[in-house]
Amino acid sequence: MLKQSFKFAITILFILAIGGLSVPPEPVQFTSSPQVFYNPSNLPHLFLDLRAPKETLERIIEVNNLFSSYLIPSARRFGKFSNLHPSFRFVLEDKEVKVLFLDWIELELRGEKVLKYNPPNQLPQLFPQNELEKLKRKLTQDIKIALNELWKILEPENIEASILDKLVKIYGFEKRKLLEELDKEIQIENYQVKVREILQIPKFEKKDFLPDLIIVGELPFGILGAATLSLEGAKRVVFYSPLGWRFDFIMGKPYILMHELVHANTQIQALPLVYYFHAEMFAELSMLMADIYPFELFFHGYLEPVRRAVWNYFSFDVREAAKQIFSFSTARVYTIDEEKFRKFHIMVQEIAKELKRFVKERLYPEFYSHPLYWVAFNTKLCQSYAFFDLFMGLEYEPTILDGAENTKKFLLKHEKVILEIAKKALKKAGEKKETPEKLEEELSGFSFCPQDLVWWPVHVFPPGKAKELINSLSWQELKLFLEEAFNLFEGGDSR
Amino acid sequence: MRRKLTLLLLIILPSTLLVGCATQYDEAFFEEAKNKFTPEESLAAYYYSLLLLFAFQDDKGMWHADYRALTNRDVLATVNSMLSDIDNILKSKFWLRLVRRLELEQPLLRKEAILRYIRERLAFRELMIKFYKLIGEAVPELKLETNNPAYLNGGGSYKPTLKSTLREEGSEKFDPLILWPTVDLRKFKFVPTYISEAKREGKLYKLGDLFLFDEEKEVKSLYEIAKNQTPSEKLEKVREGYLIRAFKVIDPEIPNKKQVADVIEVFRVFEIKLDQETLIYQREPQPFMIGYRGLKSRSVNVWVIDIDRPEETGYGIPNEVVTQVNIKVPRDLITKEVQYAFLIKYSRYEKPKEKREIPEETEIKLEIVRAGGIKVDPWEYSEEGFKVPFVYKEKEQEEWKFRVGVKLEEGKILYVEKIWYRKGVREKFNLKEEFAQKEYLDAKVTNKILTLHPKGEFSIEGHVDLFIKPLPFEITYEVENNLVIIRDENEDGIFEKRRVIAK
Repeated sequence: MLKQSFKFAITILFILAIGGLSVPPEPVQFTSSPQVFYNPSNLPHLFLDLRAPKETLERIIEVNNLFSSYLIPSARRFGKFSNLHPSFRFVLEDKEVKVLFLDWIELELRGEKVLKYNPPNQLPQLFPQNELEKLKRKLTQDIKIALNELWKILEPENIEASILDKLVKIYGFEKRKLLEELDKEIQIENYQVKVREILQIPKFEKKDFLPDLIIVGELPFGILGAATLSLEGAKRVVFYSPLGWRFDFIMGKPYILMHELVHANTQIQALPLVYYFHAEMFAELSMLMADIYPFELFFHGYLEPVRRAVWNYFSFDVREAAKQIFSFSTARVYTIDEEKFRKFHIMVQEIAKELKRFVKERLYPEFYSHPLYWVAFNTKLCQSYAFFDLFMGLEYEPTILDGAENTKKFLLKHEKVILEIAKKALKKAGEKKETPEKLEEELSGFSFCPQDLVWWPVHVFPPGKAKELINSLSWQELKLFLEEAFNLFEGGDSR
Repeated sequence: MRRKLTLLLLIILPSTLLVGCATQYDEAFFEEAKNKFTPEESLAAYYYSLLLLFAFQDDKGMWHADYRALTNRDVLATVNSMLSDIDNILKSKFWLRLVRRLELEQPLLRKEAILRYIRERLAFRELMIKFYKLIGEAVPELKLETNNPAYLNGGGSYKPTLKSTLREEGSEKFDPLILWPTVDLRKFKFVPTYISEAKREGKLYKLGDLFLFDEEKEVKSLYEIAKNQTPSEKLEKVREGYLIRAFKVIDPEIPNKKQVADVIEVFRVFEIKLDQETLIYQREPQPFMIGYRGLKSRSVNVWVIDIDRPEETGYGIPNEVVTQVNIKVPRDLITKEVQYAFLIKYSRYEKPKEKREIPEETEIKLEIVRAGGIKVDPWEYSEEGFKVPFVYKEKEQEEWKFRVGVKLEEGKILYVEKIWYRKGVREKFNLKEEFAQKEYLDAKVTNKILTLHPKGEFSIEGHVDLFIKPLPFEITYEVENNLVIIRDENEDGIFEKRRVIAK
């Protein structure tokens, strides 16, 4: 039954996709006055057509339906004026958060006050005014859930305690003295700075995850969420696309929102440190820990280093497993092998469980007890996730070559050769390759290492293709892409 | 499923666009390994290589991160790179607009200050490493004032194994304690052990003092600064110079008659003229330059330099360690050309100022003018009057260094010109009243003699000064490719108008 419905959905999508390709979109004109849609449910209108199934495979199908039917808008034709759209404020953990509903507008039409939902590339829809209350209620609720969930999965008290243990070992203070020392203030130029801030040791507080402004509105290229990287004292903004919100609804938890809240936290992702490590992987790993969607591991671009490490240390070849589950036929139509799926699903859950422990007990404490050292390490290797690869080795024995024992034997036998290769590779790391002249000119002064793939939707392309694609783009195209991103802030015309 | 869309992250690191422009370690590793191992083996080898290079194994076979695997220079390079990122953001109009909108400018400046502080400490450590390497001694361990022994390698005892052949052994390694602010760097004196021991045992003898005074200049009262008073506005004349002091380790048991110095200290000294008869001498409390004999060197060749002046914050912390010159006796420093140039270079060294030009928002204004609706007065006005900003007729004996010109138009003499050709200044004079009214047929100049031919009268001839008014009504001169005209219209000697014309 499930298989059939999935196939049916795929077929429909296939037709839709072809249609979308061959017929150019036409401008919409209203011939009669639009109807106000009365929504009797307590749910906001965004979620009325969605299900939130508990079963993983059904969930995957629902998500697939959501994304595969979505025509990616390249960008808004015109920007929006933030002050014309409804907004509200709420206080959580003593912090005031402002929410702006960018794709909605309150109007008076023929004597009736209505809420107009007006996303790009879609027909506008009209709702009674109380629809806004529903949206506000749902969003406040979701932020609270996201915050509590993050706090629950990260267990920051434990991470902080582990960081302190590490610091004791590194600096040799006794714990109580160490805490005192960390909060000591010293004068640097015109600033009073705590030792903790100099060493960039985080202190977790719930409110640090909360941004100052959340903008709910469609993002270019179908991006689900975005966040400004920032510093303490600056305004932090999180963008939450309705598409992302819909995705979160299917998941049952505000998954995208949680990811962005990790970016918004300046204690753990502050400028310019965040440029020097794979910040996206950090945020996404926290999600993986939430047990909502372990299949994230199969596809998400940010988890590429994790997939590789999982292969080496847990023998589980994610890429091969994905190929076996989702066998490819033609024109982007896939068939799911349900039996394999269930088999691998159990394994993936095991992996997620193990990684959950690893992230809390090793990754966070190790990295944040000495962040400056680890970003220097990444820079030396010119690889933004080098620290992750090393930490995996500190925690697990590799099993890739037919079990732990055989692998160990192989490594010990070839230790000398490996060291030789390593020496050569280390010399090569950071070597500049050919750079488009224009690109080099425009970006001179910015650091080349560590190389960071975080921003690019790599997972959309086969491995290795992303780099090729980026290299093939002209500077003009790249700039256009950047400008699109900036229009989020500027509110100006994009094209 | 593959359509799971990405989560965008802003502010985007521009280097994201540089993906594929530099080689990553793993990429290089797989490239090197591809002929030796299968892909699976390569992968296992890659992860293992990280452990071999950047971790160590304890007795139980557990791996621990080695916080000393990187060199101090590696960490310093990253901090520099971060500083340059902030700098690039703050000096670009494009980024700055975004930064200001997010109220990120002040936090970024704060972060920059912290990173500068870290950079200073790392750079200091780098100097220590350089110094002790040149001297041939081990770099002193950094220590905290605490009872607990710091075991610095992530737990367990540190045992460098043969595996860590690539790890840069010894002194160049990064020491995490350098970042700990309560480790006071001023405590670390750059002194070789044999010198400090000799000093303690009373075997360090002064060979002699040498004074050298140099140019005279005006500075704020050094006397008052030395007394910890706020210096008054009055400038006093001082001569800056040097006190060069040499020491030698002399062991009575091992006689050594050669007068070759082991240590040379150079102080800045000042000769201050309080009044006509009183001269006082002032010495800076610490030498700005100390030289020691380096490893296997027979002369003083390792120089520790502190370029800061006593009133500056970095005073007492060395800025550089250099090995440019060899000196056996203090005299060499002032008699030999290269050595003297070296002395002068560092004694008058001025630190390059890190100044960033922060782009300002463009001011938006509105101005509509119909054609012909403006009359622009090209002149500037000043009640005090304008002056030629340089001397062009210095002394009386140079009074003759001008040429004369005269401008005649339709029977009227418009002006007589004195051209001070050495400085390119032209003074224009009106004729005296009695000559101004007349109509002239011709006017000629021979040297400084003016010959006028009034209509229907005899010619008049004489030195140009006989005919003209004592003060010019207009002076023209050149400054930086601009032609400047100053004009006095009411003959009061004050040039109240000025016009600047670009050449």
